Amino acid sequence: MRLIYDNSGVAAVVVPAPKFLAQLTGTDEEKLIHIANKDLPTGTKYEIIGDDVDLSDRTFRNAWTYTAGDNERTSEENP
Amino acid sequence: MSKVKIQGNASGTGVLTVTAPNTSTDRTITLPDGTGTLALTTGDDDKLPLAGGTMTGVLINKAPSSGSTTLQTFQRSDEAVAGEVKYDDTASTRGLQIGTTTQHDLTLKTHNTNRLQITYDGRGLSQFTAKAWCNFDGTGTAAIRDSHNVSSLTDHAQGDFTVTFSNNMGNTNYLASIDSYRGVGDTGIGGANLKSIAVGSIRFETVRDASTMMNPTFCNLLIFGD
Repeated sequence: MRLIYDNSGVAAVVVPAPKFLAQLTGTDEEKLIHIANKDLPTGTKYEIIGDDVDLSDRTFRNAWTYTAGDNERTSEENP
Repeated sequence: MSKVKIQGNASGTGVLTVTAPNTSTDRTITLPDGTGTLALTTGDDDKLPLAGGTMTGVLINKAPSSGSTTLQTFQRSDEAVAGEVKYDDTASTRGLQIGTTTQHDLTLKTHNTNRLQITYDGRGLSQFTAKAWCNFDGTGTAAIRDSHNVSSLTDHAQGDFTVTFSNNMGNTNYLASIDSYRGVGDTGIGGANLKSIAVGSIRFETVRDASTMMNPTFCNLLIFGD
């Protein structure tokens, strides 16, 4: 699972470090929320996307945009 | 000639008995020339009754013949042993082990100054150990191959990445060494340009031949500092 958010008009993708994920407890979604709250600026709107979302074709990578979906969340202040 | 004086205690009611051992040899027990309380065996032979004081000589914690032996260096009031020096005689792991057995750090110091702190979660804090490192693939779906003290990689755009640390650096004066390679056999010169540096993350561009932004097959980040 990864995070996706809008960064000045281009979609940014946050990839968790496997070793860091392994240190966290909870569900995969809870772990991603923890990373979002930790690594994204507070107030950033983001979504969690599954590994089944294919991001491998990087043609026109700079033209990727993020459009908010139903599961959009907002990063909170890191506890 | 000095004298020996045995004195009772006005407050007590018990009787102190000095008992000879079962021996046919004359023995002499020489008392130390000092003031204090003698240590006794207590019957609870895993504890020394003395608190404080200074011992000279060699302290040997010896297993009867073979096998592991442990010197526990601290025991908290909740009976959890927090630190130990152990010789592990297990064939596969034989050697000396020094460390903590709880969620506490291990610190090595010289000249009364902390030189190396190994945190309970496995990070080495010193001027000579890497604070963080990361090896990632920036092609296709960006992915971290392996890392240390890194929580995530952000793929911003073509050749534009941020690595975020699990634990922040102490300041932004740290050393960041970044190399990028487009792929095995590629003759272009890979490199990186720093975009921003913060205590919690570092953002950089990966480039080929100094100017062309590229998504590297191999990108290596190495961090030293406070």
